[in-house]
Amino acid sequence: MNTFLRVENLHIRVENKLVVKGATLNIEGGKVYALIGPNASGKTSLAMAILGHPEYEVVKGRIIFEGEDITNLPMPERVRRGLYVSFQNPPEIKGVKLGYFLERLMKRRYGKVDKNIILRYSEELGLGREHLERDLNVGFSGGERKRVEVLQLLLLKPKIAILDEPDSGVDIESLKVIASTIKDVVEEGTGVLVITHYRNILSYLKPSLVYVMGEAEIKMCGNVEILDLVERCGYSCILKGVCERDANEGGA
Amino acid sequence: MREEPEWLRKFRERALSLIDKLPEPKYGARIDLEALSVERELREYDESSPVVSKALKRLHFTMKEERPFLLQVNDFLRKKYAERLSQLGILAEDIDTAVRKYEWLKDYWFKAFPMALNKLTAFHAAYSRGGFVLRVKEGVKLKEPIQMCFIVSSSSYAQLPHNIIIAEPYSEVHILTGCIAPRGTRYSLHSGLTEVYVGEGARVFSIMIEIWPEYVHARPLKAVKVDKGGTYIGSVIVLEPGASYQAFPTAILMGDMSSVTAKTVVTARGNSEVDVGEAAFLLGRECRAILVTRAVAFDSATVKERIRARGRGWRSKAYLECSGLILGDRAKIFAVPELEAISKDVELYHESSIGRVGENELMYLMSRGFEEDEAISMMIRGFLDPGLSDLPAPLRIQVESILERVAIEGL
Repeated sequence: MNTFLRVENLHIRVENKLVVKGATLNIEGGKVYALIGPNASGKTSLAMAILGHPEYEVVKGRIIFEGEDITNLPMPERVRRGLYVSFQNPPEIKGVKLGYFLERLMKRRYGKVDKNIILRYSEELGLGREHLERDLNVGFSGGERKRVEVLQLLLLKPKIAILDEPDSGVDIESLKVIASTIKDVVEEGTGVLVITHYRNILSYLKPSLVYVMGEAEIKMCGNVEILDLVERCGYSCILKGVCERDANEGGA
Repeated sequence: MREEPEWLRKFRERALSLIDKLPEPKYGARIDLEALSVERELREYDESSPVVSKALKRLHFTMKEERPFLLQVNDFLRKKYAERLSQLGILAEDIDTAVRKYEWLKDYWFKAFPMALNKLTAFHAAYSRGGFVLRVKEGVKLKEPIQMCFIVSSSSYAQLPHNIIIAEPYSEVHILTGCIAPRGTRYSLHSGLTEVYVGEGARVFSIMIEIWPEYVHARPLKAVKVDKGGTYIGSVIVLEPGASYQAFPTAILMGDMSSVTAKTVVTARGNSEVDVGEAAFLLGRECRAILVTRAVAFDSATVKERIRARGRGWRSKAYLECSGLILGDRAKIFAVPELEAISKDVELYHESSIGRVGENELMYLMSRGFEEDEAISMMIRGFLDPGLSDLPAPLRIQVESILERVAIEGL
């Protein structure tokens, strides 16, 4: 069976406020998807609810992972089934060294630790031994933090990954490294949904489908040409449906 | 009656006469000394007995052929490889034998620690039994840790060993001490009194690991005197503090350019009452002191962290830190830093903080598949770790393995 994440008409509440009012999307293994939309349209909330973050309450709709309803599963359970969600702003964790953290992660995932693999993957992402010796994210630059998130993706090889702005605050060199790593992981079968504000990363990744979120809903989806449309007329006119016909013509 | 030299008999008589006159100890939960026996028939164990091997395992002690080992179960001290130590220039002897053999011991008997501080110290001075003397000859350096283990296996009993460590000038010694009672031990007291004399330019490294079951009270008493250019680096790891635990090891930096780094980490559970910290007196010129206490309180445990520095010596500096992590709904942590500068040209700093496990950090770890308990354990390990740096390799490995236990088994 093909790896599959299906989100059906999801409604999400945070602190008594409905932040997502209808999100439907599908992610298949081995493909790249994009989720775009203006700030505060609910993209991160959607990612967090799929992850199972307890602050993001699903009030309506379902999350189906490989045919199983995981809407009410605790977060670590979902992760164990092969879901990975990277953080937009990963926190600093004092006293927990990056190298030690990755070893624990590897032990958890594979039952054994191979320090050589950890070092090799780190170096592929331009993070060296000195980073492994430092506390997780403490004093790391924005770009380094994003690389750490992608390094974990590479190490865990999840079935489905949602990457929340892996390209924000990242310089062009870092961006190339991050994008090519994501590509490698996709080639090995992971289905990836990239949340982003920038076209740049998507021109590397060539998503097969782009979802557009606005006003707490997934309003539409289409192929990459939808991005041209966004660039030309901005989110507001697309979301009003003015260009909807154009989008659909260009889309599936 | 024990055969002891005249000076010691007199000393004990004086201590005995003071017990009733002295006040209760200022810190820590009150202990009923009268309910404890100091003279009784006790079982003797050797290192092959299950009580001992279980204890060593819980302390993560590694027994190696070349690693010297001293073991005291209740009152009985055994030593292994003491001959090898004496060939290297290190005297290791049980104190009851040593007092009969060496007249010089009286110059180190309660010369770092004040006998008449309170009821408990006088009680200790009057009744102490067992313990060891470790004397490292001038210039002798031994990097292989000397392991020592104290086990209380009897109830209604007070274990009162007196230990004296003398590092002669320019010597170096590494000591790993484990203090433990088997689970199921009822009301009893462990109060080891340790006096450390660090000679000119000498270095002493020490780790102490303590594991006490819920009815045992622990009162380790410790004072360290450091001569010119000497260094004392010590960490105390209290994994299970028992019914109550109180310790306030004090370093007296006598000599110029002498230094101390003393750290304590505690994890307290249940109803434990813990009162820990360190003190340093910076008397010589250009002395340095770093004192760190880190505590994690679960359940209904109460932890008081005290750190105190008194600076007098010209251009002396002290840095003090105490922090706490509260995990129990009814747990309490108090942090009491005290800085006393009694001359100018002294610099004293402190940092204190008490908080809980950060929600963001916890969520992040859980988002990577760790269960809540696991994620909290990792963060506790991370919180305690800085309290245990500065240790040389073999001792550091010991600490790592203990921390790993905290991280993986969640204690």
